[in-house]
Amino acid sequence: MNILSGYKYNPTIGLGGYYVYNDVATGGGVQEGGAPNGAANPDLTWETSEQVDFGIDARFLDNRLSFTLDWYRKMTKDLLVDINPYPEVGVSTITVNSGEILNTGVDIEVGWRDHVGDFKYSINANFSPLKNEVQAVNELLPRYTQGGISGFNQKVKSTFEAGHTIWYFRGFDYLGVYSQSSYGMVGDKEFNAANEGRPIYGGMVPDLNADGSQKVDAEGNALTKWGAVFAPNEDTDMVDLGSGIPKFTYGVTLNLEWKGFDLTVFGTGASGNKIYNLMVSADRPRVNGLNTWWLDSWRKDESGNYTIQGKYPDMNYVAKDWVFFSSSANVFSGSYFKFKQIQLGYTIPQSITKKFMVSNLRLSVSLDDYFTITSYPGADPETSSFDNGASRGWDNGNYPTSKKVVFGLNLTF
Amino acid sequence: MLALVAGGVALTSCEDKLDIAQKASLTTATFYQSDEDAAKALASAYEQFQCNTMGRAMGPGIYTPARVLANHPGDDVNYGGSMYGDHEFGGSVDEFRFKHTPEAIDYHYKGLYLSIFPDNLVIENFDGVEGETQFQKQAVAEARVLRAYNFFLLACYWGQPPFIDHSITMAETPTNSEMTQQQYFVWVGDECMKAADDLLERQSTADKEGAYRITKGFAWAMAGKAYMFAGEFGKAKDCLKKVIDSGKYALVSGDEWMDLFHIEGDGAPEKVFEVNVRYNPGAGEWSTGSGLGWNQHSTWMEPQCFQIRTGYFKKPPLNTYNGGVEGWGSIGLPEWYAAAFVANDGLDSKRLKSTMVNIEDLIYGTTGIESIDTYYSKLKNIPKDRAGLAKWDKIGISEIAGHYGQSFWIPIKHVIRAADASEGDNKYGNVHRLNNIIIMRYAEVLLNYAECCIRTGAASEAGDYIRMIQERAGSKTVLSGTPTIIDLKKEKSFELWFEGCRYQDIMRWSKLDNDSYDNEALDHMKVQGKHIPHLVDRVFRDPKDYPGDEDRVWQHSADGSDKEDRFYLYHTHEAQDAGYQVGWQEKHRLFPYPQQVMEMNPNIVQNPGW
Repeated sequence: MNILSGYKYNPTIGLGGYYVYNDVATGGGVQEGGAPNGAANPDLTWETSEQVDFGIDARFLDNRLSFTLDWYRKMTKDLLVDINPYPEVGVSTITVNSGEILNTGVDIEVGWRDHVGDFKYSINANFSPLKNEVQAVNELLPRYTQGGISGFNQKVKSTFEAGHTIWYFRGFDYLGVYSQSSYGMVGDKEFNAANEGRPIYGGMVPDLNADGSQKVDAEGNALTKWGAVFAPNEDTDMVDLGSGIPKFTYGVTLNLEWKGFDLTVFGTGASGNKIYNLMVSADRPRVNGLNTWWLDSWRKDESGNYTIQGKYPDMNYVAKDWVFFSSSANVFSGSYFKFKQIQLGYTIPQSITKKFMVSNLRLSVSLDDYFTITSYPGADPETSSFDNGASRGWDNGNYPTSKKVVFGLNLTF
Repeated sequence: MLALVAGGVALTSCEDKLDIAQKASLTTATFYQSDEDAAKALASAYEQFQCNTMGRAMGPGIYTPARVLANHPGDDVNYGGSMYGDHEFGGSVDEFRFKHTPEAIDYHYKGLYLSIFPDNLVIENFDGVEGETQFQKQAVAEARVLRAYNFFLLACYWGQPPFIDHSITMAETPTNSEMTQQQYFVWVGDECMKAADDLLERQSTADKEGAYRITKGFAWAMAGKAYMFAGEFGKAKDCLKKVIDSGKYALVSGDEWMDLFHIEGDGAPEKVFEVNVRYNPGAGEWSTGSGLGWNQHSTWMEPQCFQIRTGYFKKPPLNTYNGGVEGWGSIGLPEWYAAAFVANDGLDSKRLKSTMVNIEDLIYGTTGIESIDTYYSKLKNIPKDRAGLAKWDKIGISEIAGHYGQSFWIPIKHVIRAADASEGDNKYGNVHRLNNIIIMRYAEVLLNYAECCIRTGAASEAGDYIRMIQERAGSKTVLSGTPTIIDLKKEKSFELWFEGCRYQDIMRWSKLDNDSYDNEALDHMKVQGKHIPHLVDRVFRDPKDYPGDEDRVWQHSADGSDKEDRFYLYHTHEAQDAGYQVGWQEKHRLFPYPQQVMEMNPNIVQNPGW
């Protein structure tokens, strides 16, 4: 019996599978099976992580100006990863050390606190750019995927690969719509009206000489180069579409106080993160989902001419096509700035409240999560991180944060 | 000072404290000793074989990669579904528009090697060891045949895949085998014959359990098939004759033919080897792979895929037949095949009636299969004649886009029956398909034997066996003289539809004979994806409203003017329109090695054209 199964470097024999040699009528005949849990990896070693931190904390001008700066650099090495080994080894996963991941960034915080007579105010702002990069991977598996949302037939996968941010979206590159002005992108010498309104994607195309003949290398293999195609290929034509990790996050807090009134404005934001939207399904195009593409697509009128043009192709061509919904057309910027709280409060002067044996009475009204500045067409860019880790940035219709109007009453006796 | 000490302590490492040996466990060093261990190891080998044959180790899904690769590329299967883009796993293979990473190819390649691994463990741990018992010899022999079968498929599909005959580690990077495809087939045959002596033999035609494991009969039959594929027809004939002479296998009657593919036929006399499927109450709905028994979820989803799409009918015709399972429609019959089948067998053929039903019979309730016809008989005010039925709007295909990939004849051979889901007494709530999965049945043995006879100058003997198959089937075509190889090819195509033979055979025959029959088959494959039928109903989709329909086809007249003409086909080719290359090409003789394998392993040489 295998009580402890965490020892991935040397798997043990697991019992519990079975095969039945007989029929029910003749007694069952269940034979228990025994097979190794996995494949041994004697080279397995511990994951290590080294971090360097450097910071400054400063106060100036009578504590009115505060400044904090923190720089960090964290390198995680020998990341333990379950990969699929060569299929010929005969087990579906094996744990190896793979990956060096670099996380580095700066946290800057600045604050100013002062008063002009009765009027007190303070502003605090923080700004944190961060960089995340996978620097090296195990050569056995230069690229692998994980996470995301299962149950859809999309082709975008969260991918782990050297030279990119961790868990970046890997999908097709949507370039635009085939039209009178863009037909040259696919290499057509003349505009072909039959293809008008179709989507064009980035992809590998044959590399041709000026006279149209195929360029070949020393061994006679046909050369290809990056160009534009109608039907991109999953093996060769997928690119980095960004990742759910923001380039920087920031926040602002503003406090004002005057004669019993206080106003707090607090907001946070992120920028540079992308969201892959799955509030749509090419298998069920009539489902209730995002209409962003429909509103801005090429449309024909009754006579069959494209009178309306837009950013997205004729939906007749793409509404049922997972290739379109696995491209940059479906990866949106998730940058946002949200006013998390705008609170106005009033403390009734103690001189009045003392009469009622109340030492402190404060009334407040607050707008929470009320205003969001974003171009993201989905429900809420903040909650659109589905899960963490590899599934960050996948939006499957996560419930948005509700806007709240909160009335408050604070009593201290 | 204290800070310094503290700092110093912090810098020491305690990694050596982390080396602790694992307690209370079995390792490969202590296991694989006794007969009991051999039995367990063998059961694991069967289990992984089962997993690859009827499910997949990568996680549950709606299709079995083994079955998709064995059947979809053939010219006798259309992929279907709700519309273009649905069931892509089938579409990319069926229309030959895959490049390197269609899921089915990737999963099947891995699944085969995942199955070979436990086979190798049995063989290398028990073959020729000191004190080897008779049971251990038998276990080794069974594992040998399982492994040989897996390599048969690997060689058939990939040509010269890595030859893994012992368990390897990640340090040994596999390379393509030096053996050519033909040598691989000879190796498979030799392995099976080597193992045959130590195997159990089926006791009689009534011995059901003798079909649930590897026996002498299967070893001989598999050796025969492998030698035939290698072109060694004399040797193949001898091996197959052993199966026939053993007397342990027999064809079932024409009335029982359909049961072979359902739970009533488990262990029938005609079964040579099948994977025994039993319900596992301990495994959850999404159980996968070994260790938990088997892939229950696939057994649910695959029957749904096999069945014509329920949601597109006004009244689903198969509801009683299948116990209420919803269908998704991933399999259809190409028009040429249904027409050829009808022309060959005739409408009264038991075999034809058990393989496919005409859409009119299906919807009007005149199939002759009781549970299909009963749903219909409960309706009120049923029109009296077929002309009236052709206008009645209480039944029919209500979806205006139509059944994608279907023609006038609807496959019924592998559609689940209500009893298949419950082992006969309706025990289980959710659908789990529990009839056994046929690896080989006696009819294939006889047809292979007949082929070998024809090719070794014994055509008249072949005629006896082909006639046996034809008469059993109730076919109107029964040979009178000596058969030609084309007669054999035709008979095989009708007897063994969707049993994993067609594509492998056409690839082999087109190289071997290159006759008119083979070329016709290749022509069918070359146009796959260029002419996909949609089955629609004039009552719900008036042809006058759709002048843009391409290539409309009716059943009873050329233009639909016949009163009984209700259902018609129109055709599309959406993948081709989207810019994909469809249709068979020479490079499709072999599948490509999966992209992940090529990326990870620099030693593997990709197949030509890929």
